[in-house]
Amino acid sequence: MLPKKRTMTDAPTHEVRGGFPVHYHYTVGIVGEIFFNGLKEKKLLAVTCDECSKTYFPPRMYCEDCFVELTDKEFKVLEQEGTIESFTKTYKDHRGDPLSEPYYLALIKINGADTVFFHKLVNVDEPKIGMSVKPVWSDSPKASLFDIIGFEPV
Amino acid sequence: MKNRKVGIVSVGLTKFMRRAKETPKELAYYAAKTALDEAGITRRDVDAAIIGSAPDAFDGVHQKHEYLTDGAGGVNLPTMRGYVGGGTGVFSPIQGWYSIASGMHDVVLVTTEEKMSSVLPSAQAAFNTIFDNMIERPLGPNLVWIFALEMRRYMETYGIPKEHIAAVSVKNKGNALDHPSAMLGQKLTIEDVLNSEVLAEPVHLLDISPVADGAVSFVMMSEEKIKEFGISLDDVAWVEGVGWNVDTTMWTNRDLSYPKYVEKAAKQAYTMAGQKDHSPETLRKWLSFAEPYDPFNYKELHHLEGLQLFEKGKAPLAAYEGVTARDGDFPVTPSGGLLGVGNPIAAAAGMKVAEVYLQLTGKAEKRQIPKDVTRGLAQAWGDLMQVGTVIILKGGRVE
Repeated sequence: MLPKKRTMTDAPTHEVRGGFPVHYHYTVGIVGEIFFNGLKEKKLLAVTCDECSKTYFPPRMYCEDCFVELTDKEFKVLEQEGTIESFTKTYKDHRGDPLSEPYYLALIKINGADTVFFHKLVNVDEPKIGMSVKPVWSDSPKASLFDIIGFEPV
Repeated sequence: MKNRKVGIVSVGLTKFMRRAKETPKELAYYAAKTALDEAGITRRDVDAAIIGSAPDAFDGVHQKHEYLTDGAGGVNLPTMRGYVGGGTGVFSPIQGWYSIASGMHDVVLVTTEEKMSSVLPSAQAAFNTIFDNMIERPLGPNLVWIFALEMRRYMETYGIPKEHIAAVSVKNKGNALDHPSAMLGQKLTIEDVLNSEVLAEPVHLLDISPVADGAVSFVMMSEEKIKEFGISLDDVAWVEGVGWNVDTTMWTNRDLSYPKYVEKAAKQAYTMAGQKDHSPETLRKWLSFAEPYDPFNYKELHHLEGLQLFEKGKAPLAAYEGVTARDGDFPVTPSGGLLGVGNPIAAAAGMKVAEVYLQLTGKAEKRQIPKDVTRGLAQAWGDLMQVGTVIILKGGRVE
């Protein structure tokens, strides 16, 4: 049923422009400080829950299942190699405009981790699930997600 | 069908801070884990999780409930978020109550969280977007402005001197000196409050609460589960009454001098708790103390009247004369409130419910009210000055 008085087909004649006038400075958090400092040293730091043996990379402050704190544990340095769990090639930006250079995004399971890591693939023509990849590091890491430029085939 | 009996068995609070190092979900974890440890249980014992958090625009994460889920212990559980703006911190334990009272769940972990320091240039910039985008937002309103308008109407209607309102800031910020989570405990005089920086007349800096980061959690259980876990009734506060009510979004269409929606929420809670006489004298005897929402000093008074604890226009003099001091005839906000402990929106009201629990179980340490307390009330308020949420707790051994 439609309302009896239909006005929604008329084009609006007035509008008020607005927006959400905010931006953010997010703290990276207790474990984020450790993770990003690791990236700055070109290290992949992970942490393992003693109760369920799950290894988190990126590391977490707590095991979300066992609900125990992990930050007092020793962080492990993982080897710089992993496998592609899934990937996609993206052709458009968030406005729907075509990208000048389509690129690959992937979920990568670093060897020794039980969780996957979301990042770009670089220097690759035909990625495959199960393919071994390694991080390509920035020459000037500064504790950022983009200290890793992307992952390339081993 | 009769509702099952529900108790709060533990609370966990982070410190309230200007800028926490933790992420929002890490704050939630600290509160939730503390509450579980205090109850002597683990996440494996929890049947459902409830997340209370106010506008997504503060933490800067849309669908904040799904973001907070793992920190609030809700992974792979029936987890949900309730959201009524500033009223959320009291509404979340109300959700915990009906989840258990209905027979749906036995053990519920409730977490309230807010990280307001993420938003730039200020929390007020986010609040700007709650107003009507055609007829209000073009004027650039923020909450300080509209509360200045409400405060002036309240003062004018009942002939209230500012000194009486300022007494609430002195009391609450003083009480907060004894709260381990507090960020703004201060020993002040009425003159300090009156002479503080003017923000929007008649609102001065010391009339309002500070934005903050923080989290508060509760473990709630059915009576059967409390027995099964062998939890002492000394550690339990029963939920005796709950109520909530929402007025029109058009704040311009309301009586600004009296919060009718708080009255309706309160009467719902009193009636549910079996208290049919809603006269102030009776209610002040029946309740041992109250924790009404105090983001601004006048709001504590406004709410005490809406809660029927004082006649209209009579709460300010009572505050000025010390009736509502921690050692007064009717203690109000013994915690230190939002004015003194801090105002991480949803967690701030969570802190108020936690205070009622801590007072009733004799765990309020230096803040313990120096008389027997059997029953307490917490109330919050929010959305666009339109929602009232009320919870009444009683001691574990009180019949």
